[in-house]
Amino acid sequence: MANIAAQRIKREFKEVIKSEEVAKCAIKVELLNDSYTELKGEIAGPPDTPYEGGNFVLEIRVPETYPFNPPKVRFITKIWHPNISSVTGAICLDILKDQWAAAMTLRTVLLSLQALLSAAEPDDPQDAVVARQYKENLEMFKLTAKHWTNAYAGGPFVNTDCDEKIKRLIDMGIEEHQARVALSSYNWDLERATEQLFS
Amino acid sequence: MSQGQVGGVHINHNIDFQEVAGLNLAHKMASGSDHYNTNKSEISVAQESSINDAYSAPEARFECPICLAWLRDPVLTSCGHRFCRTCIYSWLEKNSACPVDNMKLNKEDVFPDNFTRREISQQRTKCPNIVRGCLEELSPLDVESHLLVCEFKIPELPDNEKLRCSFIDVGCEDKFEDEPELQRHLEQHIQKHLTLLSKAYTAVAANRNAAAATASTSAIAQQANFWDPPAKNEEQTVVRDSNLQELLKALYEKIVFLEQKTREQDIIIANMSEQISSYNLSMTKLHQRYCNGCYLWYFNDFKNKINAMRENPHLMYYSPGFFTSPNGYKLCIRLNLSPKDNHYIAVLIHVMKTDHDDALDWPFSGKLSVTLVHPTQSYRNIKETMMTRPELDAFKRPVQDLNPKGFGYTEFASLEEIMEQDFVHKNQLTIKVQAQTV
Repeated sequence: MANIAAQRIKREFKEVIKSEEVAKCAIKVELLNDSYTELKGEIAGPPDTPYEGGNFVLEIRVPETYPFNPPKVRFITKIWHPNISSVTGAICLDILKDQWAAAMTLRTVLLSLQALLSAAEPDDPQDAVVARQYKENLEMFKLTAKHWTNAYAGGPFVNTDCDEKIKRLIDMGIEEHQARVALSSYNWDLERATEQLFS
Repeated sequence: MSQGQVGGVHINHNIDFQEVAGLNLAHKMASGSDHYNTNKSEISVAQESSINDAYSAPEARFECPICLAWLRDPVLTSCGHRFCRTCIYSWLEKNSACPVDNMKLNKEDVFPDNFTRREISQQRTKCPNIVRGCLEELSPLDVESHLLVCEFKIPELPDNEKLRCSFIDVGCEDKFEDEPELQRHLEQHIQKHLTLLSKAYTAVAANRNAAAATASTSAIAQQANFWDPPAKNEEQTVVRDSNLQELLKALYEKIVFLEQKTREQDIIIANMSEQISSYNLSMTKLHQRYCNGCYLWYFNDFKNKINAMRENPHLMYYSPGFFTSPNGYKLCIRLNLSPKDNHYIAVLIHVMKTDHDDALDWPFSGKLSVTLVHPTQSYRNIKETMMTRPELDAFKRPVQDLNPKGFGYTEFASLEEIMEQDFVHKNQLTIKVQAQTV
């Protein structure tokens, strides 16, 4: 790995573990290897959003050309958000693409992702299904996002209605995550979800 | 303070505004809800607090925002930002905006900043190996290259292997995370290491005797390998064998000598620290005597003391005695919970007996002001001033060491107010009393 990238991540790592966001448990960074190329990030769901109370784990890969090119970041924790793929965790955020600037750091990236969670951009979607739900049925979107936060990120909000519907599909032999995706995509309409799964 | 605090989770988006100026998100952060107000002052605090180790984190004005290291060949952009020359040139190869504020920027808009270059060249920092004895003073730019060749650097250890005690050969199995820890261990366990050494010596001596008895010259030769090349014939071995014995004897004598010396030094150190603590005590007394009636009482361990007073309403805390002038009245502060309402603290002043009470006028008359000092915002200080009243017992000449009657406020401030307004800092409350004789 190019020397400058490793040196910089080393310094940033020191900076981020000293920062006050870490002290407040809002963000977290861990090293996954000695060469500073792979890291694990963690952000807390922002308050007053469907993600509140959840902890979202991120995969961070630092390219050799860092900081002249942005780090590659994706969500490991499954999340229901218009700008994040519910399948791969890929993120659609300008600063991770063409709007990256060399003065940005792991800390600002994590804080920007946290901001993205509280301010979705449905007109520039990564996940078309989620974005459509967000625009057409905001309440349904919030309910679904809260349910996903509960199911995958340890959020406190339990929706027994959702859980029951998922259980019905599991009883029909569908895998849990697949059932959740189908129900989420069809606004928790059990019949349509079943139809799609068995068609 | 513009922090977003809702519910239990506390998220603070104090991203430097410049850092997000070019983003889609920027307008939301600035104009959206209160949670996203940017706050520059907090950022600068966070940066300053990380300067401590000067080598790894340069002062903000000497840091390149791209490599986060000391500016090397500093250049200044037309938008007023400093970078290393190579850093900003590599960035401008593919981009045409400033990495800090996203303003349009080309290679022509970048100029050498010789002022900063000179300032950095005047900086001197100590080699990080100073703890191991490297006395080099270096330019911060040279530290990294020096570290590679520094003769005091820690020898490379195999992966995950901790530092071992240097007496491992004689049986000390302790392991350490870092050098200072090892140093502490070596200082604290001199006796243990000496015992191990003497045991090892005995073992070596026994081995040698046994070897001599069986005339196994090759075994002796092996043991002696440490000092001399292997013996060539029996005669030489015998000569060297007695040399070895002499050497070990000398070493053992030296150990005993050092052991005695250590004991002597320990005693000297103990005496000296006793002396120092007695000096410290008289120093604080001096301070109380020469405070000229203005005394600051640091009431520490605040929470535990309050809880103790809640459990036992008769419990009161007294400050050390202080003097209104070097030969003036001796007073002290008393703090307890108000007997009427234990949500309030009472602050009272007591007159104390001195050797020179005969030389003073009684009753004590003067002005007393009590201030509850706020640790950061002095406008929050709670200050009350009172005049002495000659008819009160509290100001008469004390017959006991401390006049049992005090004068002051039984409900000076409520505990709720004290906690809410953050008067208690690091579990310590500061009370200031100013006494002026009239």
